[in-house]
Amino acid sequence: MIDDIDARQVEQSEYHRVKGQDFIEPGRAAEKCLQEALKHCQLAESYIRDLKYDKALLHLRIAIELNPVLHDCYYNLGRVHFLQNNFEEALDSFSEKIKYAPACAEAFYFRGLAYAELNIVAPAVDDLTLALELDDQLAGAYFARAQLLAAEQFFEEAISDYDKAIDLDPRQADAYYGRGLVFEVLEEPDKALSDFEKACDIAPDFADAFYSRAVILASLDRFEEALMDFDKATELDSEHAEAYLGKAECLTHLGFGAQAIEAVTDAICLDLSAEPYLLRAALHWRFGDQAASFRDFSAYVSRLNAEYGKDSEQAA
Amino acid sequence: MNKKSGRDSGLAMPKRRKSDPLVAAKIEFVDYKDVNLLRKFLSESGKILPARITGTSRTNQRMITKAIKRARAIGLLPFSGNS
Repeated sequence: MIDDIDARQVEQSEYHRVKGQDFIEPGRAAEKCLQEALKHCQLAESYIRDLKYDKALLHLRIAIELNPVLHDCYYNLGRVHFLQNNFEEALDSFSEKIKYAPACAEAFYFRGLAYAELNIVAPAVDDLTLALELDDQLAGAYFARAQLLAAEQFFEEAISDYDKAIDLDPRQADAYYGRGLVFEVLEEPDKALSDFEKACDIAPDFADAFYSRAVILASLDRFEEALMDFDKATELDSEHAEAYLGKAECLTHLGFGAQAIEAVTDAICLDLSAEPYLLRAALHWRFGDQAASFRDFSAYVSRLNAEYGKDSEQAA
Repeated sequence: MNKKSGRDSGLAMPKRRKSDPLVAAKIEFVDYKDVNLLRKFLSESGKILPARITGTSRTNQRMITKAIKRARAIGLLPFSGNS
């Protein structure tokens, strides 16, 4: 059984055995090569499913050597490279697949994602658009394109893509979250809040969704609810410095000075910038501890000087 | 149902994008005088876009924020609007 053969053995035995037949019967050997290549390709697919990427890669390389025009191999090779975060190699493999099968929506989709990962925005959008022209049911392509468009500030187009992604797959918390962010930037807090709520309901372990909902609630002066969400965000992600700062802001508005200072201190432990010191200095001052306030203000000034010094060096 | 993004079809929904545009463009230092670059991180109303939208890392977002604030202070960028 081919499944039981170690990939290295496959390379040494199967490949040379099949290639050796070229000298005897060229026509049959070519057919045999194709069959063997298909077997290796299928085997590679099963290894991809089992997350055994190295083995999948070996079998795909053998398959391509046996039959260089078997384009499914290039597609699978691209997927393996993509899953291993080798995006440039993935691009090459998907391009090869597209050369042989220009109507493969999935190849355009994955090549678009690879471009997006490399932050090459225009080709990424083009490929995702082509994928959607070939198959308009690819919710992932709408979602990926929406994220790229939002980052490029094409907000209306991004919302339209998020809408389609949500229509096709209504259980995707990320799509609601992404659309909520766009509404937040467009200053439509009610719509943003509704989307973040859906994201939190679908994915109760999604720290950024809780944080974003808290930001909106705080902007609407609903500090008690915001505080609960900031708490939840820090519970889910204990290194979320912004959530601690948000929590401090809510606690200040609700009149809990000591807890607010504690929250800023948590943020200071995580965030090395100067600003949290200034915030804590202001809180100490407001709640009557002037000595602590001066200490924090000094820390703020010295950090600020250090940052400016570093910036001047870099600018020079 | 014909949903191609479902995990059972092998085409899972892509991950949330986290690639930092500054890292991708190999920018290590953001100059407050580079207004064209800074504008990419401002909304139409002149607000600084959150890192959750732009994908910038915490450190780079701080660098951008600082540069935008300096540029605003000397009048290179508006405090509001995109004029």
